[in-house]
Amino acid sequence: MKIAVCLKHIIGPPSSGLAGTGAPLRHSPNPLDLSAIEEALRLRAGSGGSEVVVVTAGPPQAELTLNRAIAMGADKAIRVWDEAMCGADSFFTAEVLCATLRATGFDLILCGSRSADTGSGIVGALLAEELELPLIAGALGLKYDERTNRISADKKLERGVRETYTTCLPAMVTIEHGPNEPRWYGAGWVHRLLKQKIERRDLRWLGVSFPAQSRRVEIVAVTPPRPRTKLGVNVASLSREEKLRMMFGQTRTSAGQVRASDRPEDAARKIKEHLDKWLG
Amino acid sequence: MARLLGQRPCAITVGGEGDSFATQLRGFGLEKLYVLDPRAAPQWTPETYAQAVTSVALRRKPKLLLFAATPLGSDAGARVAARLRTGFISECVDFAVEGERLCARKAVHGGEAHMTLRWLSPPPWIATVDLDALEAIEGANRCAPQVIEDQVTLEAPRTELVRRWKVDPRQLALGEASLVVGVGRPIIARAQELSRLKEAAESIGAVLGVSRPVTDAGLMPKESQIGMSGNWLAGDVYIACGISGSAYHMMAIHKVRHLIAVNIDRDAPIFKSAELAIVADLFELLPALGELSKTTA
Ligand SMILES: Cc1cc2nc3c(=O)[nH]c(=O)nc-3n(C[C@H](O)[C@H](O)[C@H](O)COP(=O)(O)OP(=O)(O)OC[C@H]3O[C@@H](n4cnc5c(N)ncnc54)[C@H](O)[C@@H]3O)c2cc1C
Repeated sequence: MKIAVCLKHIIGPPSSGLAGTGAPLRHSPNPLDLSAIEEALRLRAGSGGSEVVVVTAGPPQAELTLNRAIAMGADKAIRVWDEAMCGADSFFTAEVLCATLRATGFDLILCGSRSADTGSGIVGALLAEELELPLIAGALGLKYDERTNRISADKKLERGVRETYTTCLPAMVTIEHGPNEPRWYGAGWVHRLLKQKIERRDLRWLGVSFPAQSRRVEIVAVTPPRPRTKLGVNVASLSREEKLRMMFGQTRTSAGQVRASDRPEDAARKIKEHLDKWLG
Repeated sequence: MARLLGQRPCAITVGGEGDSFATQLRGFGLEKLYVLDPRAAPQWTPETYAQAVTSVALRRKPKLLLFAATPLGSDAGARVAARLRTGFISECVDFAVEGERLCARKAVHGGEAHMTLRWLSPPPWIATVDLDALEAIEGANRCAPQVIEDQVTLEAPRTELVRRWKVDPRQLALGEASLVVGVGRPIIARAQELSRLKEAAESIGAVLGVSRPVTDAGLMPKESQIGMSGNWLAGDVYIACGISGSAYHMMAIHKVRHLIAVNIDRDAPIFKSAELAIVADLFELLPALGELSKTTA
């Protein structure tokens, strides 16, 4: 089985100091993509003759992420980049990844269910759509059945509800944080890092041209986080104290605040009443 | 949103009881409710929901298509946007209209910054909405939405839902639990009480967590820590007992919908954020709460 894992290299705000002050930017692999590599390596271990190929569309710094993947145990690493891709949106990134994946071949494609920076969480769906693959999104762990050539995956819903989905290969699966922590390094990592070359490709090699409709959404501004405004709250009706509270990031109004200093049994009853109301 | 965009608000649902659902939605300002026949799909999964919504969207041509940023809504929303090849912005916390264009704001880099984005593609614009940013408001208009039964024909799904089950709520990780009881420093001096408190938390169906001094003292494993350097909560109710309310603790609980604080100190800082403030000794209160749940259960 050939497993391709799509990776994103994240260049974040500086870890210390403010943006724009020249403090070094933070580089890291997208954490959920590391979980996807971990799942791929576990599947490879469980079925003979499998291969794990990691692919990223990113600038030279993205090789830090590919090297981490190689150290974890990936068999092959490919980086695609072109100056034209600066500021590309998810649709173009997905198109580039599709062309790369078509060139390398695959039975199963994995990626993290969203990226930790801008996190639109649509790349998996775009790859599935473009390559006409069935998609399981937000999977916690994968199992492969060689006999039926099917994979199954659990999906986490709210309040402890879980679902298991199965589908036939070839398929696209996006990975959520699950019980399988990504390993730091795999056995023989020094040797692999010394020996493995990262393949570098550009758009011309892939035969992809920059699309006419370049972006579907554009960034207007990046600002410090603001307290959540509650849509629908009638601000005029709030007291000055409540407005201040909202400005400082507290979204609850204190209207329901109850103070009780009764006997423990009575206080317990009061809590129970509220639990019944709030938990339904 | 609809008013800002000069549009009429409509909703899509799958289900046989469109009329009774429409009655429940009375007062929320919806004009139309498109009800899909539940038999249109062999199973309702993110894949089939996405197909159905796509087909309604192609026919009805909405300007904006909103999904809840839940596991199902995020999954289905991304699929619809991929199918329609249109702009998609996830986990929006706020919207604004600028001329003809719609902007949305969302948290990026784990909440370290907010980013405002604008749709450039032709509608439908697709977004998932962070539910914590919203509050249901009922308007003065008590009309129920008009129910429209819409037919959709779907392709054969390629993913199959084979099992659906529920994890015991007490076995959940702190980050996923709906009800959490947190215990603070006072337990360190009275470690022998820990099993009683655990039992009490269990009988109300809660997961037990602790503040950092307790894990530092080695009384509970690191996985049980609530706070910036431990688990972030996102459930419905958090009962903080004997926890003063330090910033490191509080920043990790802001997503919880309701906070109940129990403290012997009437001036404990945590009371400022609590919806229900109980001045009591936690070693008396928690067991009493446990007993109460056992007798009423
Ligand atoms: C870098 C850093 C990271 C940190 N990360 C975390 C973190 O992830 N999580 C975390 O929790 N802390 C964290 N801390 C520690 C944090 O600053 C506080 O020290 C800690 O949260 C205090 O814990 P507490 O509220 O349990 O204890 P205290 O602040 O000592 O509060 C105890 C409270 O219990 C009340 N009390 C006493 N007896 C009783 C009783 N019988 N019944 C009821 N109430 C009683 C007291 O009135 C008091 O309010 C971090 C600190 C640093 C510097």
